[in-house]
Amino acid sequence: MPTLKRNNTAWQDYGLQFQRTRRSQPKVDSVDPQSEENANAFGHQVSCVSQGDATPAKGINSIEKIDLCIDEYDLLQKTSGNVNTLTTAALEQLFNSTRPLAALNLCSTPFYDYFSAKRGSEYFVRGHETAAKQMAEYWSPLHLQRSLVIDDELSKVDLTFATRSWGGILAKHFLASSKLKSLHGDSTVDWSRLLYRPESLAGQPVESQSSLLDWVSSSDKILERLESNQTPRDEQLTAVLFAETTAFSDAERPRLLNVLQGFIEQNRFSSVDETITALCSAIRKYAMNMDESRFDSYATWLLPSQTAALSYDLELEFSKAVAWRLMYEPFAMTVEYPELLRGLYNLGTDYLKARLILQNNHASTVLHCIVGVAILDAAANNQGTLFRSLLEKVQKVQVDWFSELISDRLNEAIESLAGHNRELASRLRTSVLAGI
Amino acid sequence: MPATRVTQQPSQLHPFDVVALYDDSDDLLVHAMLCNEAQSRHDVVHDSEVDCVHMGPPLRVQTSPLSSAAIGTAGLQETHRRKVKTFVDDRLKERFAEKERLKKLGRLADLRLEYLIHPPAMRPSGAIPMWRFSCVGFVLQAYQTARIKLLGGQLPLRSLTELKQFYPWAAKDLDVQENRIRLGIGEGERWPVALVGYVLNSLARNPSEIHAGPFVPQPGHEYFPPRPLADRTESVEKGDSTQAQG
Repeated sequence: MPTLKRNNTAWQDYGLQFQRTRRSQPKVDSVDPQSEENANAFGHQVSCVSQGDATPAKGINSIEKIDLCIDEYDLLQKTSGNVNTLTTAALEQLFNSTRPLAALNLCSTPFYDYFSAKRGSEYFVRGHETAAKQMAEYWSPLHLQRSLVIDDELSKVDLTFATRSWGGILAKHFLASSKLKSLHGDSTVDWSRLLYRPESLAGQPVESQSSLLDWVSSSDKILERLESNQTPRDEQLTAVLFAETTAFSDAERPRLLNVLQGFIEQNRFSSVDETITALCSAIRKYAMNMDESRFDSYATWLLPSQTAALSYDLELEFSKAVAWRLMYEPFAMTVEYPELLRGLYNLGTDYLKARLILQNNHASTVLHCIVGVAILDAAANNQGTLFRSLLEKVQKVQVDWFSELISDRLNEAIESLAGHNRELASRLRTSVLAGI
Repeated sequence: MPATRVTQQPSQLHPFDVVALYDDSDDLLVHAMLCNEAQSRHDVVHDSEVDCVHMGPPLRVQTSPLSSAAIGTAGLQETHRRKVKTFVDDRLKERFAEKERLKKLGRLADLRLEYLIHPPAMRPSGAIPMWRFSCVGFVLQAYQTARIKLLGGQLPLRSLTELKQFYPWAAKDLDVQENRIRLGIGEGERWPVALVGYVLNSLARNPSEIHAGPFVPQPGHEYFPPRPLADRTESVEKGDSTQAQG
């Protein structure tokens, strides 16, 4: 058993206050978790193991590296694909080696895969006393708690009753190693949840995590955070992301639209990846929930400012979201939406060149613009002037697969509209037949 | 052969061909993916790894080993691939957002809202403004973009007991009505769920046949090669389907 030095390091990833223990020995090969190169090297190590290359001599070395490297979130994130490729045979080798802890660590990564996690839990349940001893020796209490109590129910990994009973065995080892008393002093850990928690409560998160879970699934609490100017930036982005997948009542919808409008207007020229991801969520949620009175103001977001232009990723998301809105949700045809119609027409026209639609995903942007223009033109009953103009440009481009995509998407739009607005579907069908 | 099990014998694999993974019993296919390699490969064997894009969940790009896999090709032409790529790229930002959400929660909760079992694909709505798929649904929808309909007709109806065999990771969830609703099987007793094996059996036809029309699966086609009904019933009773349908 290697000599250990307990070195608890606070982790804040995923909102978890997560303590890990590290070995006193230096990082193998001076692994720098921030290095892409090392991430790839680590990935290769995992791949070797996953391909059954964990021979006793070479394998242990690989396992050592894995065990050390997975302590680093960044590295893990970069190589999560490789971690997830661990096969049954590889996990078995890991468990049967002198380092089952490494396998358990892999199985409890946030980037687990159903396959590897399930298999890992099976080996654990099967009875690796060695693993229990090592966990008692190496793991921090919270890590242990997280793996045995919190993770199972909520992550759908079937650790179930059999595995939870291992909590008792682990506790025995903790007691045997006289560590429980000192560990019990760790205020971040509620040991009662691990040792005495009944099965019926096992899936419930402990307080530190439940606060995050509480508000990201509550429409009211999300709105509170988005409406407050005291909300920290990170929490604001989180609120926008979770607003996308939360259902809001009719009464809450105007508040939601107002805060999303503010967020979009403030951030639409951002070049920060995290912000852009949240922005795209905001755009999709806003578009799919906006009432008709907001259509024309939405169109102004498609325009550049005096000094900045939208990224093409955002142009795609803006056009996609509004095309979905027009296809899938009802809207009033009693008024016209000239700004939105013109905005989509202009954006579509800008990209309607063969050399552009074959680059990035501009084809998709054009596709969504054409669908939006076709529907709005049909709704306005104005002979489909702009729609026909776009189709003429499509014909000039002479990219057959793209023309087919447009035709298919328009037919999909007709079919979808027929479900909630037969008149509009009929008008669009006429318009499409005339245009194509 | 358009669809084949990956062995030591080199096979060809082209961009956006279908890659499917077996469970431990090695004949039930449990997960479907699209090959995300930039170029065709002619050296694919059982210990190869290939880049794939698939509905894990979450939807992601991932390198997958082929140690227990089958591959299927519909003889896609470059124009088909352009269409499929348009579909896949269109999902990019939706994928990033879901990844961020899961990252923030870690394994605290299963909020994989982009995933469902049935129907295989569900369009965006005000509540969830993004496409939702099963792993099979993602493949089917991608191919539909290229005007290739892989499955058709009335799919075999599957009982809750059978679905627990095909989705063992969700077996406990499937006992809870709320979860069944979330996964799309809230009402009724049997559902026409699209299974991975159906897709590979569809791709086992000649390319001309694949492009001409959909495959109508029968019970037993969840396996590849397909099993006669009697064998299938026996294996389900034994409970040897031990892995998850993605």
